[in-house]
Amino acid sequence: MSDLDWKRPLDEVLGDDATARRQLAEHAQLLPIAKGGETVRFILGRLREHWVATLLTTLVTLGGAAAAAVLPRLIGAAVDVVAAGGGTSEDAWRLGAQILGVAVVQAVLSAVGWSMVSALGQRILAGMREEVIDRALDLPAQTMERSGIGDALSRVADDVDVAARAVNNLVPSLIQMGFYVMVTMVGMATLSPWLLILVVVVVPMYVVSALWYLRRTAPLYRRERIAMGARAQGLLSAIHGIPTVHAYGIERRETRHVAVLSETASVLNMRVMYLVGRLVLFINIPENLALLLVLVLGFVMVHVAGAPIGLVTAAAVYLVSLFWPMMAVIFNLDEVQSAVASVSRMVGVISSIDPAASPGDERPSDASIRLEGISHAYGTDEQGNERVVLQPIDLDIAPGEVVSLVGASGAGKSTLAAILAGTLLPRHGRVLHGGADLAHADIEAVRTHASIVSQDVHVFRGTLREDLRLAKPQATDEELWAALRRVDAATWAERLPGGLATEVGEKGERLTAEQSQQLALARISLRDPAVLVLDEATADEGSSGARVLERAALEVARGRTTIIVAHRLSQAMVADRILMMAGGRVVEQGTHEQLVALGGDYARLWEAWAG
Amino acid sequence: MVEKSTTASPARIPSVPAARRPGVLASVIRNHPRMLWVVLPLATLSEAAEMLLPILLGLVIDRGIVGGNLTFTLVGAAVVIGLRLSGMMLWIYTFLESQKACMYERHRLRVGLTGAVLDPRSRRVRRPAGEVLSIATSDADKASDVLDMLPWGIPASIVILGATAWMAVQDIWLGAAMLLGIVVMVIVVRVITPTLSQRYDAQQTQAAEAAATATDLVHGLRVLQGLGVQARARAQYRKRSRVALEAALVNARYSGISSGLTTFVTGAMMAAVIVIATIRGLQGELGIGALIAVVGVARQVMGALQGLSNMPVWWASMSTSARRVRDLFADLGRTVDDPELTLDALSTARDDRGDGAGAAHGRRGGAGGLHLPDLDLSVADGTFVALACSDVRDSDAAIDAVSGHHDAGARVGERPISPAERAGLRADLLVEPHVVDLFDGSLREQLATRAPDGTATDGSDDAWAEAALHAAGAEDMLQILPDRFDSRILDRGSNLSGGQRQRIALARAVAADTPVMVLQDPTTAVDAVTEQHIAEALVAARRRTDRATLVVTRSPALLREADRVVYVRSGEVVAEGEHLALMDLDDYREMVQR
Repeated sequence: MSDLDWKRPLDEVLGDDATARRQLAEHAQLLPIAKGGETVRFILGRLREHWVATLLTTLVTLGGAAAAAVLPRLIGAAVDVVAAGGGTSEDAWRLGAQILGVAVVQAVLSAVGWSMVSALGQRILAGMREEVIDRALDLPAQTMERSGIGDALSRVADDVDVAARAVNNLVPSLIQMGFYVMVTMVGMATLSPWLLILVVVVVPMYVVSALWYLRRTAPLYRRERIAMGARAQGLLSAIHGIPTVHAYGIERRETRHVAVLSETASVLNMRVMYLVGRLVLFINIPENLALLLVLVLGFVMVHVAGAPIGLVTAAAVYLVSLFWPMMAVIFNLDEVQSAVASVSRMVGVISSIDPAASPGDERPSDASIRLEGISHAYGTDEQGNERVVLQPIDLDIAPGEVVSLVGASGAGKSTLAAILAGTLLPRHGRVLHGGADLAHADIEAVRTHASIVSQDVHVFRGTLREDLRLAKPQATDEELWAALRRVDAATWAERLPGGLATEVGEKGERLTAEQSQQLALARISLRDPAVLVLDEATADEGSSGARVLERAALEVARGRTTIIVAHRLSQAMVADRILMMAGGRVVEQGTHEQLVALGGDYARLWEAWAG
Repeated sequence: MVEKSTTASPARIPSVPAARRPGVLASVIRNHPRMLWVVLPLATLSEAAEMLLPILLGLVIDRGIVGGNLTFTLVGAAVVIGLRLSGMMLWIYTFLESQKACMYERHRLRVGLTGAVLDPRSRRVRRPAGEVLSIATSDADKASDVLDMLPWGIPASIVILGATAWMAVQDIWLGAAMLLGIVVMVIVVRVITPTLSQRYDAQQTQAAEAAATATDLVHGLRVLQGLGVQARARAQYRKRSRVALEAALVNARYSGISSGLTTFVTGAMMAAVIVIATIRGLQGELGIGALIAVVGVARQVMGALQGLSNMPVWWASMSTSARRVRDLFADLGRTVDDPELTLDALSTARDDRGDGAGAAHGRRGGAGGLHLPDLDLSVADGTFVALACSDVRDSDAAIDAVSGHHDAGARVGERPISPAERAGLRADLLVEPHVVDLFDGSLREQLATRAPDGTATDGSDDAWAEAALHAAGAEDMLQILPDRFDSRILDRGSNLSGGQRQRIALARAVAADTPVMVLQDPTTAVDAVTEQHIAEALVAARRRTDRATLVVTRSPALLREADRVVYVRSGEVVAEGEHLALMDLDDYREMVQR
């Protein structure tokens, strides 16, 4: 049958898919979210910055609403012309001209108002998304790792998108309708104080219905969004991992995983639709009550207070013309709700993460590195002890020296490498680059001074030229080709359909892992740092690729102070000094020959390697 | 890329000629006959009730209030309310029905596409994963919207025509004014819609560009920070963001103009209707009630028209989406109504690995080893063989042959590894891809991806998992991960390092315990110390009399531990024997040590 069981409990839909359960339950929000009040203050602050535009927008929109609210009175006037008798066709034409005039005013004001509201929103939003990215780019890599990256991505892409769509259509139309509803109520009240009864009775009912609805839909929408995110992720990862999916024969399992999440999202969405049905039912109560009141009050006003029949007509038209905007406002409240949630998440990032600033103005004077009493730990364990990854260490590295770090996984190599590169701030101790203490150094000077290349490769969207120019914006094509030649990448780069103008990255030409890493090394060559840290930069590829990369890395490293985290001993051998690490400390130190002669851990490793 | 290999030769499913590709919209509608025969008529009634409201109100005001008849007023009010209530009930019913149908179709198309894309028997397509995702989500949604649009668009159009006819009956000039208003509105919409949707598309494109740039920068954050070029990245994004803002401002202007134009057309028509109706009223041809009704109906019609004015754009995007869904199915060699891709089939079918789907088997016995006649290479049960190729092309060719994307004569026991047999051989043969892919799930779930039936995957006995981690030199993961086997490994192993990912994938392969296993460079992201552990433990784990293992590698640690090394140069086996013996060959030693 072409139907699902829409009332099925989620628990049953999820069945035995433990991953889907976990995905729905744990939704990592590592980055801060602004509280309601904070978000409102933030937006008001932005509106104040654009106060001229805000004021004009308000006036224009108010004017448009006022013009629209004149129409029911003119309709009432037309009824009076007929009902009172003695009118002429001239009166009819005069009314027609007035309505036409009002229509022109309303059309112009609504056109201008719409664009003004939308433009104001877009300007504020553009400023906000730029600030979110600003902050995200300065977040320490350690924060972004783990699940933080997903959260950050959803803020810079999804939240901005949700907010932008709202600003496009929803916000202008809701603001126009909101003003219209207000002006209409004022219009009714000025028509006759009797009609105030209507407002007093009906408005609270609308408010209660809206609150009832929002309180129930908000959690449904939130979970639906999580399910949709997990659904997309499930599909993408299955597609990316299709060789593995086919090798292991888990295509049905992965399809079912996507199906379970898809059904969860559908069932949640349908629950919202059932609520919409009930909301319509609820709203009918104040609407019908208002209709009854208008007719009864109309009877009373005409026959007791002697009001003209046109007034009753105007009141009825006012009332009926409110039904639709009211419904639209309430229907769209959930989208407003989700836009507000998105904006709060953006504001959270902007207002609670400080932009990176230089801690001081010291500048490195040469390419030496000095560590004084450095140690590091990540978090704490259950007993509250630090999980130490690096035991206290002192180290002096001379300008131009090549040091390689060798050891098992978890020995602390990458931590030490990141500290040496200045991208990780150690818990304790001082790091000096060319005499400048990183805790008091000029941030841009340090960034120019030292670079680190890790296993994580990334080719940026855009042309090959743009990717390389990230490292050196003013580089000429000649320099770019020289850098590519230096890392042995010129041959394949020349074969690309558009040379340097070839689109690369996720949307363009796919580069292999090896080519991407060559590109990373070419960027280093352009950036020309005094200190270079290679953290297993040549790993994760077949051995033939590793060799090409090793050559390229050594070429790029020439003349720089270089720290190599090596996983192939052939790489470690060439260093001026080898640090053998184990359990967070340096256990052996010396040249290849010295360490082999020492007969310790390194020597044993070398023996196994060299056969 | 959905499929990375380019050898897209035989597939079991023949391609479907474009002309015979079944339409997705037709399939969607065909699935829900009730929409046409039950929902549409009821929705028309509901719309009609809405349109009757101003007519009834006019009557009540005229006869009840003007006529001073309180009873008529009250009864009239009751009838009005009754009419609204029944209209609303009908509306709620038709709304829920169409939503159910629409959401069912979204789900069906999405799951069908997912099943088709992942099915190894589908043809392989070269499309970016992001594109497949967007077809399976936003296009599937949009195509299904036809069930949302029809039960509203058709009744609304019928009722508008009916209302115009009623106006013409009241007075021919009123009918003419209405018709003129409708025609002008349609023309205005026809004229502004294309421009408007163009601007909107431009804005969306620029916004998507900005969002993609943002995503890209965050994905490449480590690289940016490693290079120290955050400031430059920031400037780049700002530029994109400003371009997007410009497009948004242009769109805002056009949307404003469009809203103003429709407002004006509505207002002008109201003016005409009121002038005509008032003059007729003065001439006594139209009562107060009829006057109010006429004006009310005119407003109602204009409101409905504004809603309907979005229909052409909606329809256009709907059919584009439907076409995209259809084309993806066709590219995969499937159709939207494929009986294997129904929700029922996909949610119950088990994976076909040639192990007699469904039956509990437990550990599988020996399969008769692996044979590669092209290289004259046989890996007998009970042996661990290493294949060392000086040219990557040779190792790729060997992996290709055992992957069965085309028939290269390779065999498992006596069974050929061919495209037709590939899926069914999977119970006995595992070719672990070199590029590591991990899926969201706990560490235990990672390892249990294809553990034999009967393995304790509920955490009651993790001995098998510990053994697998040990064989992959990954015991340290249990110390690093806070919840041991229950720790969550994120999608693609994004919370792990490259070396950790590679070792978990290796442990997963070991835990699958297939009679024949092929590994390709399984330790390239691992440091020398760990690699040595892995080589010893892996060989020990696979050295069973009914297990055959082939590892394609140049790592000295693995080569040394293997029972036998087969050394290939330029497509030919040049030497065979133990690693230490081969080390006497100069070119072999050089290849291994550099």
